Amino acid sequence: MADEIRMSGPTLKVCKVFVEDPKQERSGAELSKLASIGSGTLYPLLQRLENAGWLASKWEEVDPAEAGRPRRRFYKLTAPGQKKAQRALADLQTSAPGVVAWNS
Amino acid sequence: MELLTSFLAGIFAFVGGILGNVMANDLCASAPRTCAFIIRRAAKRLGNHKGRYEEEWLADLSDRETVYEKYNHAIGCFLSAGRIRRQARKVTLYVVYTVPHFGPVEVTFNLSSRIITPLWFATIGSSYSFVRKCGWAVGAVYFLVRFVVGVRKKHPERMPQFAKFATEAINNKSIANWPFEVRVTKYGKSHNFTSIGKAVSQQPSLLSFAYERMREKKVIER
Repeated sequence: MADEIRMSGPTLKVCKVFVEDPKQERSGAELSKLASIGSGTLYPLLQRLENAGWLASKWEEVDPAEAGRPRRRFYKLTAPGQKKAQRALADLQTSAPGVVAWNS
Repeated sequence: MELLTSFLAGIFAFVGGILGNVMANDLCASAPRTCAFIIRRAAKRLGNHKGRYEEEWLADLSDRETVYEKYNHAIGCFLSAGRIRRQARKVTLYVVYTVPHFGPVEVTFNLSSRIITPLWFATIGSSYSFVRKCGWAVGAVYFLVRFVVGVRKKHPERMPQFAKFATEAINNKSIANWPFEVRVTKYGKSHNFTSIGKAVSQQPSLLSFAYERMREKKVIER
């Protein structure tokens, strides 16, 4: 029943980063660098994916006073999210050669 | 005269160069502080979610190395705050019909539209019967369109079959017995409104009342 995810370019880029290593938890800064997406696009996208149940997030287990910086928020694909992301990327691979070239 | 002009231009260039350098230096030196300030202001726009995003964005700010990256991140967070706020306020109404011998059909409506939704509810709640009738007619056509969109989405290959099926259901009035479920989603959470939906289907004038109550309780925010 949750809102459907519109598979835009940035969404596919984020999905690709997660699908490449599904068990790896990633922070927003890391995702921004790996997917080459600006913060203005990334955080609303992460919120949408989390609301739709594709991603789960948790706080870094570190004491901010000891680390000297605030805690990071880590994102990870959920099991249904992984299936959906893989399917979305597979659909893209079979759609058109031009899109495949863009995706690679 | 030319000598004076070049002398003045030289002085301006010298002073401008020094001031520019000082300002650039200040901008670089104060980048972490200024960016943290921008992020705190951005997080303030998110109301209840302020704490979470402020901490997350400040942590991500500390991972940015160059001054350009820091400013880019801070401005991005400011833009994100507006988008996240709009997304969070989005209220979607789902009516899921279980059509016998056909399958489920999901009809969706965006209740957080700033103009169309309040305008439509104002027309059906109008004291002029002509305006009210026009509002209901427009609503019925829109519902039908959304229903067809829902069928196309779920069963694209069975569209021609559905047209025949729906005509038969309208003719023998079995359409009124199709069971349905009403859900409203906000902040990604789904709430069951089936009992209210059933009451509205019995007495459509309750719809306007239900909308006003949702506005009063701030389920729907402008």
